[in-house]
Amino acid sequence: MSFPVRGARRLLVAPLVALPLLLAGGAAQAAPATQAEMNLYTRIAAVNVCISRTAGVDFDKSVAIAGETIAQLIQGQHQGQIQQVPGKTLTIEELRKGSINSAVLGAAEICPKSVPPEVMKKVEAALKQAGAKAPAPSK
Amino acid sequence: MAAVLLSDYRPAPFLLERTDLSVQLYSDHTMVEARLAFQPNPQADVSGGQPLELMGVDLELEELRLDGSPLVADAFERHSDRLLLTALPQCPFVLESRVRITPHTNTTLEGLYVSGGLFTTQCEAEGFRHITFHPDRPDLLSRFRVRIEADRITCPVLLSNGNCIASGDLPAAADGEGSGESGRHFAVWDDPFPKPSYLFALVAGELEEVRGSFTTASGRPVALRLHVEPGDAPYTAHALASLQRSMAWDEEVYGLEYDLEEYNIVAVRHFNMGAMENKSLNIFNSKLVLADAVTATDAELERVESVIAHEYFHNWTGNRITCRDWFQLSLKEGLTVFRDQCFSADQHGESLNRIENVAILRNTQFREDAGPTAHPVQPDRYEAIDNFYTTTIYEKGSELIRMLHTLLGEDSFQRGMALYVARHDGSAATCEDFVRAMEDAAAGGATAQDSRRPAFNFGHFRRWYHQAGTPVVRIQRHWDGGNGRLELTLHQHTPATPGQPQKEPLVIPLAIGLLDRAGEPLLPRLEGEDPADAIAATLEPNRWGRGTRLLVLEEAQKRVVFEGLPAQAHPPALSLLRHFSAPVRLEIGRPIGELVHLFATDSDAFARWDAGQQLLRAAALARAGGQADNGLEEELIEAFRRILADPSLSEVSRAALLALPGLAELEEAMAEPDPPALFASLLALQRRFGESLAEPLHQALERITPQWPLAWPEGSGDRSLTGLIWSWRVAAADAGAIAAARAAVEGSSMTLARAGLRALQCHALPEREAALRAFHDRWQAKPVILDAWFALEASAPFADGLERVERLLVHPRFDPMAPNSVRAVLGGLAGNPPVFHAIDGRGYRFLADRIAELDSRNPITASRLAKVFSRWRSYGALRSARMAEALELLAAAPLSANTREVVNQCLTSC
Repeated sequence: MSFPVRGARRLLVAPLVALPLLLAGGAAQAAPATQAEMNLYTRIAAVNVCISRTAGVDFDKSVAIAGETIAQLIQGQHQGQIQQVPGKTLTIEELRKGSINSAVLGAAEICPKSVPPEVMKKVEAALKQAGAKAPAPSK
Repeated sequence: MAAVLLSDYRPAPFLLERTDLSVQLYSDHTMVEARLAFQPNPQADVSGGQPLELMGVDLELEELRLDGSPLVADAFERHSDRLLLTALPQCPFVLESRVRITPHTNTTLEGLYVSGGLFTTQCEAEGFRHITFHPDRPDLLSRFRVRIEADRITCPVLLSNGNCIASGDLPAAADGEGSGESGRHFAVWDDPFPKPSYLFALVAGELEEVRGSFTTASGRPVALRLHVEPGDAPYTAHALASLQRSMAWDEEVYGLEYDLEEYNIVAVRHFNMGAMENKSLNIFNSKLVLADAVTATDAELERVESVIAHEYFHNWTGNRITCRDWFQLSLKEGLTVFRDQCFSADQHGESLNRIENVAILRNTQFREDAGPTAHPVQPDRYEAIDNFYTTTIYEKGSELIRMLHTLLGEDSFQRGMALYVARHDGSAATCEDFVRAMEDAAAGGATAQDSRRPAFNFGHFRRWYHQAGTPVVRIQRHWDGGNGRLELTLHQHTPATPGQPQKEPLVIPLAIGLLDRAGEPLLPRLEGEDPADAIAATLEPNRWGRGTRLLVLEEAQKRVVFEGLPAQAHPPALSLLRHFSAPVRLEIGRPIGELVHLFATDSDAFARWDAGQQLLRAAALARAGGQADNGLEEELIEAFRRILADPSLSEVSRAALLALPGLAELEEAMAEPDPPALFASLLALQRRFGESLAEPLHQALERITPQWPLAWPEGSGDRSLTGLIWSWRVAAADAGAIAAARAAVEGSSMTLARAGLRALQCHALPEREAALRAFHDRWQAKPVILDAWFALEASAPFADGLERVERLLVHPRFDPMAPNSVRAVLGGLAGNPPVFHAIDGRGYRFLADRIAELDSRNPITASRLAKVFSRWRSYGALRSARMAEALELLAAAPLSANTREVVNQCLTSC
């Protein structure tokens, strides 16, 4: 017979006393997203596309979910502002569009096999036009 | 309930040859007909005319026959939990009984009960007596044949142990319940291997079947079948593959093949324990079967794999060779835990597997060994055997087997195992039988490599089975720098435990190494030893690190001298208890610099990790005491910086080396533990590390993110390190980490989703609430997954913690009959230091009330939860008084024998 749960170790976290400090730190969350933050979000979106595809989710749906998540995240965390577009608050539609594009580009880089060939062609063409290096071909 | 004593054990007066059952399942009751074929036991002392004892609880007896003739009421004594039959013939005879039971109202989840419309059983340890009258003792093995009859629509699947030898529809008149019934069917299962009643199983209901196969090393095909609730089949591939790997491993490593034509696993939602090894019909808690990368974390996938393996390995260590009595429980459980740990180590790496297991041992078993419920691996008395399914029996029992393996070496150990199997296959054995097989195998000679291990006294080793408590090894050292000579004085003592004030010295294998200032191993040469012999005596470097010597401490005190070391002012660094060679605590004053050196360079992964844990424990305890040790924390930050940048380390190693110690072991290290303060200190450390290491943590995240999509076990180290980084950076209020943790909940990896939730868990941020809500909404239709949400919400360390728990207990998705849900909520509360240990005692009283309530329907789960009060005396005057009040509240309630035993142990402890 086995135990229902092993005595898993827990990384125990925040005490009550720490909360005011953390809440005070929340003021920084309204700052525009930096380039580093945008890179991180893009990578998260791309990786989520890759994982969804591995789990058998349709490509368009994977991209839409990942893009929507990131758009919501930028709107929630940075009130729709990013440093690359100074002084402008992007609408959710604009954020969606940008996030979906980023997710597709990121997925083409991280898991090219998960991207449909016709989409890969478009990505390669767009990157060529922009003078960037195309992602590695699927093996 | 009267105590059961090991010293009272007597062989049964009658052997049981066969158990033939006919089980007729109906919508509101069940009829069980049993035909038991006995014969006198030539081994039994019959001079006193021992009666035949048939155990039976909550059974409505309709008929009892001896050799076909009805037994009248004065031919037997009827007690509340048994029948006593005297004046039985001293020749073979047959007893037949017919009883009526009500599985639908059985909420204890032992015996036969209904879970979500599915009839299922749990008979270990004493559940069979809730099904029919039977001796129900593990030393009586009999051949079972079971006929099951049920409605074909509601119970299309009928399963029991062994092979199915017949099945079909029942004619309307043959259903046994009058002439009105129809649409019933039957199946007959025959198990050719004699087994004790605790291994009986029966399942009937609507189940979806997933098939696989395995061909044994000798070429026999085995049909593998997983039975799950309709709709759950897509989540079984991992469990099936785990079973196939386990079967192959047991053949390769132990030469043990599976012995029947089919192997069935059934997943059940309502189950007190993790899983049960019933012969050829394992029954599993559904959370330990249904798992894939989207629905389970990496740790859960590994846990599923190890439990599948554990139950499969029981086929030999537990089923073919079973326990003579329940005092020998560790014979099957300790040995099988050892086997499943070795299996997992072979699958995923030995060093990290060892670290994980030691962390569990220290945070659970060491705590138990130091409290009022401390007991030996082989206890000598119990009241409720269900209370002895403990980490001492399992985990410490496994450590005893591991020590034998260490002391004897692999080849000798395997010869001992082979001898044990050869001697005891098909019988009920004792822990002593196992140790004797090892001793006899060792006496028969050893290979050249094994023969270099130090000798030890088997008689003294046996004391491990009988003495409770965690031994303490104190080490004093004297360094003679001019002559390169290191003298160690080793002392051992085991603290007193309830009922055992005095202890004797144990056999303690101590694996040690010495490191020079560059971190290179030195050759530890014993006084007077030839250098060639010293080299030959070092242990295998892959498992033990480079330059490891095995010492055996079996006296109260021992002096060991190493010579031929470089003559220098500083002593070599002492790497102790490598690979955690014995379940002991060490007491040695090693300076911080030495621990930092070991943390940076030790070639034994466990000793390296352990050096870091000692530093982290010291840092956490200093903060909990109100004064952060800035110097130590700076040392740790620099060490972490090097670890994060070290290209020779895997990500999973990095995650292990950076992990903070568990709260339980920190409590053990404090004279009067203050759990909320310890909890606060761990968070403060997370925040400090998160702030000070922002750049290297960010770089590490950049490096590991592309590995997130890799399928388990690949990528698990990357995901594990990601979770740690998120926790530290969220504690440091980093908006990027908060956002990433929040986003992970929407992703396709359960590991990352739960890592994100854990990182946000204790911070009153809007992202936390949004993430928890999103997780709930996404998984609310999947109870196995939603339990994680219940646990997180119940352990939210906020001022409204108790109100949150109250809301959870009436949540529409909370299933009070499911032990998983109950453990998630009440266990979550017990693991929530600021709320449970609030100084006003509300948390204690709240939990005591809930345990009393739970006890009325499920004593096994309730008594396990009651153990959270076991350390009530240690928490300082105020908290101890509050906890005592809660315990007394519990003691005043009408309790089951299980919970009563735990509560009494707590209250009467000194």
